[in-house]
Amino acid sequence: MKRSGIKSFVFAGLLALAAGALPALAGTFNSGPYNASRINTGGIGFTNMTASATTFCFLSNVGMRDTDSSTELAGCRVVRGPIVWTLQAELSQSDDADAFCQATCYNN
Amino acid sequence: MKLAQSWTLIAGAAAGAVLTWVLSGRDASTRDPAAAAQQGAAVETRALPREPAQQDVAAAPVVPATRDAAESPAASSEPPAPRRFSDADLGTWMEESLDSGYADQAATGLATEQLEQSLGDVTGVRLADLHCGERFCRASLQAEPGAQLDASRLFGLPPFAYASGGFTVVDADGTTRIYYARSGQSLDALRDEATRLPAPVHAEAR
Repeated sequence: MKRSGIKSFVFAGLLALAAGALPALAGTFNSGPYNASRINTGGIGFTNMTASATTFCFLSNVGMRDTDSSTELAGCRVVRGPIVWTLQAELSQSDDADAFCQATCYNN
Repeated sequence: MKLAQSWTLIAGAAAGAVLTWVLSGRDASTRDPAAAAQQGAAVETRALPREPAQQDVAAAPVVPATRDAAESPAASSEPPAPRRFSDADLGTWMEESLDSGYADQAATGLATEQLEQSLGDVTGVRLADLHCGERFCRASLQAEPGAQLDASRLFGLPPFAYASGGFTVVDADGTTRIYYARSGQSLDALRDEATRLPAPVHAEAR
């Protein structure tokens, strides 16, 4: 009885430990920072990041340069595609403006 | 006897839960933003196959040029900043490389098939041309009259989703050219090469 009691104690303890460890990966760092840039040219630059099914990504840094007229628009976005997360840097027109974007990805 | 076994089970579970709580309490320090950033940086240097050129690009926006600085007397006496290598320049370099270099027919065929399948879900956009070299490809897309081409919706679809990265260049006639690095290739490495080698036509032909 004594031995079986110890076994039960150890078994239950291990079970509780295992249950506590299950969500350990969720919310942990996966990779990054990823960078996308757009230099002087209207359009979009993109960088593919991590699998969209198992991770989530977010913008972590944005830099703009020479958006010095009312028609120069620069932007960054993170898009969740069917396969991967994509980081995009966009300029509205070909001029002297630049856009620099960074993103970081974590596990779901 | 059954009662004693039940008590030992409960005691064991409680001990395990306490141990888990203690361990998770120790991990809680990593949820602090500063600690998390440190942890991220440590993992990043160990496991992330990142290209060095990306860090250079990321470092650039930290010191933005301002209009005040440009208008100050001190700034006016400084020599003009060197012209930046634009995405249009890179597109021209890649175009010349594709025209004069090795054409990968198999990759071109596969990418064309994938893109035509992806465009099946996008109305009003047709594939005009797709061409793959050894390290990168270029797809030319045209919008039908009345339709608008939103390239940002396409990057997440094959074949672009399998690339490390790419960019668009819009022609005067409205054709959107998407240049993208093939799987396993780095767009930043191509950009570095294009910046260093003004005569790029031999690079793709190697």
